[in-house]
Amino acid sequence: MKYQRDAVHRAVPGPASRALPFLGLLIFFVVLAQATLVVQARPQDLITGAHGMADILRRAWPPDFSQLPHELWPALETVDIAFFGTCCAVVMAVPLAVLAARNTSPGRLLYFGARGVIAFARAVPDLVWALLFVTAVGLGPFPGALAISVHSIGMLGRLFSEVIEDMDMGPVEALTMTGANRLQVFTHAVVPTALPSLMGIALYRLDENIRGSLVLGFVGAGGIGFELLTAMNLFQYRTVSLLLLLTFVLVMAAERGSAWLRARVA
Amino acid sequence: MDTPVVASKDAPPIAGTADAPLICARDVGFTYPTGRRALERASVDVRPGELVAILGANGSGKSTLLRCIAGMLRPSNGTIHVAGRDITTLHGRALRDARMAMGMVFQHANLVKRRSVLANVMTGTLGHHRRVWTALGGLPACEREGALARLDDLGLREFAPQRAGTLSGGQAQRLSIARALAQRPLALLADEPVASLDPEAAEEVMRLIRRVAKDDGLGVLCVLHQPVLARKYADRIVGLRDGWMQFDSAPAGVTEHDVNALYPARPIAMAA
Repeated sequence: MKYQRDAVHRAVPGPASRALPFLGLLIFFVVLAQATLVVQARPQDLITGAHGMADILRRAWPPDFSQLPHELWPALETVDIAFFGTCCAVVMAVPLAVLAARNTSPGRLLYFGARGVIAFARAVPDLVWALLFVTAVGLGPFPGALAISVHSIGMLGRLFSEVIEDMDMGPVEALTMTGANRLQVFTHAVVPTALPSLMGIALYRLDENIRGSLVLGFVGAGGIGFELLTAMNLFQYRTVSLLLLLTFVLVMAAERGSAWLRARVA
Repeated sequence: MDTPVVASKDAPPIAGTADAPLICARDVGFTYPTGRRALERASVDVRPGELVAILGANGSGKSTLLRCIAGMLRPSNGTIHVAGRDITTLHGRALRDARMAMGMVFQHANLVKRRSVLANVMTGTLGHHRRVWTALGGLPACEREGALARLDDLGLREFAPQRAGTLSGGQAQRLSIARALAQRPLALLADEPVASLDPEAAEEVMRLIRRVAKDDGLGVLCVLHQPVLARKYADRIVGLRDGWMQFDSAPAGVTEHDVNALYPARPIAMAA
């Protein structure tokens, strides 16, 4: 048997296509230049501002640990806003994701409806949702939890539906053939197959939401963020640095905890 | 007069009589939505206790025929009677109930890998227990003993608490047969059940399928692409080529020439 040499497709392009990478690079620098102009970047502002920053840092050190007992409750609020919001979101995102996944959606109308709801919830940032809820419900942790919940329904709904679309349909088909109804097929085939991925996604979301709920406090939605805003407005810089330290500890702990749990579950 | 198709959990499955076929497909034709005519005027009978094998090359229509009989595809023409009812006229709930008379086994075991072997068998009984508890993910406790007995029968009892994903290919396929039997069907339909198995595991699974037909009295319809296995285990062989039936007879009446004609352009050596 004679082996024939196939036409060798060389990596070296012709003269026209050789110019493309350079053209691309040129365009990139042009765009970067215009971005610098539009952003009004002025390195000299950093230098003149350094003096002011040093002053603030001096006033913020050392952190005021006497405030710590007072700040523990807001810290708990921050974590609980994220936890409560994520739990509510998971409960609502799962059925929504089933409707939004091509392989499990019962009909076109529901499919597009569910996708629309998810897209809208995702597109609006959680900070904007928080503002809306604070205006509607008032200040405090509840609007924060609502905002986290609604935004997470969008994020989770999208990721959950992707997991469901990618899953092995074999067990689903087999179970349908045994005479199980749609709901039974869902709980006995879809859920066990998709559960590890879903849990991993939910835990990652929880981690993100803890960071998110910190920021929500700035618009009045309770927790450490709110304390931070108050302290800054009252020029209590030593309290601010304490709160930042607390924030750092919370975020690190959440990240580590979430990673550990995900490794155990997946 | 319609005979009840689905057995309750107390009564034994109702078998057809010796001369009345359990499955009776007549002049079944099927065209895919793309326009491809996959099946033309296929007719096959399966009686209780009989193992019928369908042979054919890829694209011959053998899986299409099986899926039409299983109620997974609606044929473009023809009739399919299962335990006296024409399933081509049924829809929704009635179709689902009629389908329960047929247990289905696929090329891949299609088990829920993360659940235990026992749980996988018990999920076969869900059709008989449509309740809130099972809809929420629970398994019917009354089926547990029966499921364990079935596993024992198939030599899988020791694996009962293990995750189904830990089983070998042959074991997994036996488990999927156990799940199909847990449904208490009248017939067993197998779509290339041994295609993914090594020769030894394939023989084991075919022996089991034959035992299901002979000892349990089910009618078995099995799509195979190994003529050797069809000759060895089937009571009758049906040959398909390009959607048309070529022959339907006992292995003794099927010559090598007949089988070779099913697979155009490549000869097959068959052990006699």
